[in-house]
Amino acid sequence: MSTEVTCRQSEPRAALKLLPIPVSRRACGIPLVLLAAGLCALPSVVSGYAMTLAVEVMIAGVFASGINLLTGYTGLVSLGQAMFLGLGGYGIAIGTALLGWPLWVSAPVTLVVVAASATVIGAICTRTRGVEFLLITLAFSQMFYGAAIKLRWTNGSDGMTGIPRPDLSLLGVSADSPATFYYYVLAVSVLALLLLWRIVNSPFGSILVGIRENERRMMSMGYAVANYKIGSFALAAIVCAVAGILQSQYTYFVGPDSMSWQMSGEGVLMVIIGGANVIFGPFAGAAIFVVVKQALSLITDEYNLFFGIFFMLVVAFFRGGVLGAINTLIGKLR
Amino acid sequence: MAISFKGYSCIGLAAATGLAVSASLPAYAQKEPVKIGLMLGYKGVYGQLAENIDRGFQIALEEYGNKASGRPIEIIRADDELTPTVGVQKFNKFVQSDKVDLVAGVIGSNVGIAISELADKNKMPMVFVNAFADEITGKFCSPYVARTSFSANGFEYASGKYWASKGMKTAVTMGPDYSAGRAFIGGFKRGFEDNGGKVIEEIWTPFQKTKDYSAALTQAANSGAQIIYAFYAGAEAIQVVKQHADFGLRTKIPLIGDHWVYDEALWPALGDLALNVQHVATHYPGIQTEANQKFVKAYNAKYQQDPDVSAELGYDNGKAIMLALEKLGGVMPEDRAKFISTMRDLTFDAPRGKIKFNAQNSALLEKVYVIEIVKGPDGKMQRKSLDQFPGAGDLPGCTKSF
Amino acid sequence: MQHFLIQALNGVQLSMLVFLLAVGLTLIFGLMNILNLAHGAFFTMGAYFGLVVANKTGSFWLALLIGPLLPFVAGFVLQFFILQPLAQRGRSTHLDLALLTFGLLFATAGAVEYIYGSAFHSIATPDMLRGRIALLGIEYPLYRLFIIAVGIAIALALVLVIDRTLIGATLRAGVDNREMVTALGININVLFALVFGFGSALAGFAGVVSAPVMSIYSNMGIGIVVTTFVVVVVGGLGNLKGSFYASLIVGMTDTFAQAFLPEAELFAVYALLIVVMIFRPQGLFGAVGRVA
Repeated sequence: MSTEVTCRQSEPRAALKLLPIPVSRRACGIPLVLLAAGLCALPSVVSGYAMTLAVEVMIAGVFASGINLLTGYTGLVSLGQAMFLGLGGYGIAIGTALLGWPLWVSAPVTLVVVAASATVIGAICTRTRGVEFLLITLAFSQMFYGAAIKLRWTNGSDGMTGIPRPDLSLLGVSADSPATFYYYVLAVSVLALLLLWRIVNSPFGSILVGIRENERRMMSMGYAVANYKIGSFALAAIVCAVAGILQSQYTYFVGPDSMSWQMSGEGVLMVIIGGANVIFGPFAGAAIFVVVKQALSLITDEYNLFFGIFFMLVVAFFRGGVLGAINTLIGKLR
Repeated sequence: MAISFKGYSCIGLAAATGLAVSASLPAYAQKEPVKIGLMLGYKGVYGQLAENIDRGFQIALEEYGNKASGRPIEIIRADDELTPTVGVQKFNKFVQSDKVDLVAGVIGSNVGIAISELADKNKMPMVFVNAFADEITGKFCSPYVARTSFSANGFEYASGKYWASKGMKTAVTMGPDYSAGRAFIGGFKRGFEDNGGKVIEEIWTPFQKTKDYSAALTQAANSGAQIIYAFYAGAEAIQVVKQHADFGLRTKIPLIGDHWVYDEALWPALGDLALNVQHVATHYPGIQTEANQKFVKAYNAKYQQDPDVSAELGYDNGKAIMLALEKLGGVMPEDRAKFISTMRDLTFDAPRGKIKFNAQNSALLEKVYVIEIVKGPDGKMQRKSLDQFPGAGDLPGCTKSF
Repeated sequence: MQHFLIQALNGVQLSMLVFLLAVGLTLIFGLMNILNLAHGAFFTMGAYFGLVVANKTGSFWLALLIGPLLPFVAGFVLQFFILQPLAQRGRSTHLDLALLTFGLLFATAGAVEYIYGSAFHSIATPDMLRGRIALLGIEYPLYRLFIIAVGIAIALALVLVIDRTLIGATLRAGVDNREMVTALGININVLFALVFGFGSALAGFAGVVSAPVMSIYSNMGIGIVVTTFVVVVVGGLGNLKGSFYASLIVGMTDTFAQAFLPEAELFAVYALLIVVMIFRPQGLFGAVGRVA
């Protein structure tokens, strides 16, 4: 098998890749600590604009991480995850603006609703696989998109504005300031990452990988594969919804466009770029994607053209994503 | 190879000249520019409007030599693609990266609503050129948000009132299903029904997504109303007018609308379909006032054509900004809300009439014209004024005081 | 009643346009198992190329004839030189190819926008087809009836070709058993590339045909491709007759929702798809893997 060693275990286990680069147990800790320190110090070092970019990267990273759980680890490629991104945003928008609940009530309620609906939708979708799964997730997301455009009480295609950021007055700071919001998003992203790590490291995670590798064998081993798939779908949905909540708080706004299939496509692209089934992959992919998009928008207005070409190149050549490519490179150098 | 004495002296001379030039440069580049972020929907169904607004805006700035009290003006353009999500991103870029002094433009009310919140939170003055939805200076009012055009209610309530008084008893409305569409049609309906008319049916088409209006038009034809009153603009207007004619409805149930439905910019695409239609307008090139004739002349000199309504709106936007800047000596005050309140106190003669602002920073409409498009003596199409009436006030809804 | 019939006509007209697109997609899927998300790109390509021809020659008919040629070549090239080799190298699964075509869809929209801008263009209705027919109390545009006629004509032609000719038999055989067909000495790669090209050409043809009625704009392919998928799945992937009936169902559902139940407008078609996929995942009209 591979020569990679992961941080925790001494024997290779496919589910536990932190980075696909050979590292020893102790060596893993140091880069992590440096990264953490760098992230914490970021606001004092860089300007406001770079900070907003960092926030965008983290939000995109959380979204892509949700997709990664479903696509990278369980092997179910979906073009509809953006519906949960949108549902997260709309959930707190409806909760705070229409129902008048405070944020600390709206957010958990939103996540519960998302989990419940994702279980139902997942139960329907996971009956299919491969290309049909792709299409049916796309259909569901288009349905929500259409509903969002049509529903008057959520302002239809205009979207809802005035979404509140968390009230941090107890800590004496205002989440309206870019630096404070950055720390808030950082905290949430780290929590999400930790959650995903726990899931992926657990027996549940190994079963998901097993389903991806050989579904029939898992079935013959007696696992209720369908339930695991639905579980993965629901968990992925929750993570995507968290990203949706962050996104709508960032711009104080949510609209039907956050549920478009272009948005889902961007998420899948980030996962592929960064490396599927690797924990940090989605964040790396998100960083590359956001930075490239920003750079491109400075040069040209034709974002679609480059998005498309970029997507094609990545799919055709970067199997395993950028981190995977690095791994291959290192492997070649040995 | 060693450099000769001649060589050294040449280098020395060049260096000295360079130093002298660069030392004197600051004398010319003394004044820091005023940065204006201009955000318009250059891509999308309102692209034509964006282009013309940009042109009108530039004409206004050129009146002041592109300088505000001696400071050069720098326009940074951004395309919001008529999509709120993109508009929000570009606005953030204006604030964080480009560090503009104020933001101008925005056509779509959908983008406008999303941005007004951001403008308020970021304390960045936002001077809307279009964005007619009533909520923008109503529910979402802010000391940092102003609009130089007019509110949907101001325009359409008066229009509804007018058509009702002209003997129209029943109407069916058609419009794109988004904030501006609903604001305009809602305004018309209120004015129409308050004055004896009845709107039999309201037909809404998905905004930016509908290309084929056959179902909607067939529906309208079937309603039994006297007229179809529509609000559409840009590419959508072209489709609606064309398909209306395709189904032979021009004689059965006339399509009446406002100046965007039959905009000059669309005349090449509409051809003869634009002839002999009546519509309401806030401006047309033939208005005989000094302010308008000066504007039309300047526009013709630069672009070899008459300005349309969008160009005029762009001009008003630019002019209001320049007047406010001049009043403040070209310096954006620390408390940027003061810029907006200075603008609010302005009164000036625009090509469309007198412009005044109400307490919510929303410009009011002095007059509305009723136009028929006819063939002029030179064979080209032109607008003929049939009538005029005053614009209405804004809807209430602003709960903040500033 | 009359209103209902007029809307029914509108619905059939939309169905025929969608059918022209669905045919290519379902053939490609049935034969090669490729989910070609870029199908919308060929719709766009055909429309713009037709625009170029129409502007140069002033003739709608020439545009109709020549417009589809560009997507034909593009489709052939895409399949023969890019998709086929990637599939054979074993590096890409069907899913990867689907994602690849997804990228192509956006790249084409972007490219077209780069060249032509985002303004809406149009091709003028040909003089012969202008005007209206007095039908059921209102006047229905002649051109829209033309679209319906064209759709039905092509459907019939395709059924004839698939059922009655050698090429059709080869295609059906290729779907059922690819290796055997290769063993018979038929160059399956060329055949598939030709079919891909033909399907793309049909999409391009639909683009030109729809231009006088809808507009030509850079995102036109993206908008229509999802509706096409609904049709293809409802009709059964690879099932030609199925996609004809399915396009009728989808076109009518969409139009009637728009006319009579506007709240359900963008929603109804997808709800239909989901119901079908729950209860009959192989589509309403037949078993998987068969052409016509």
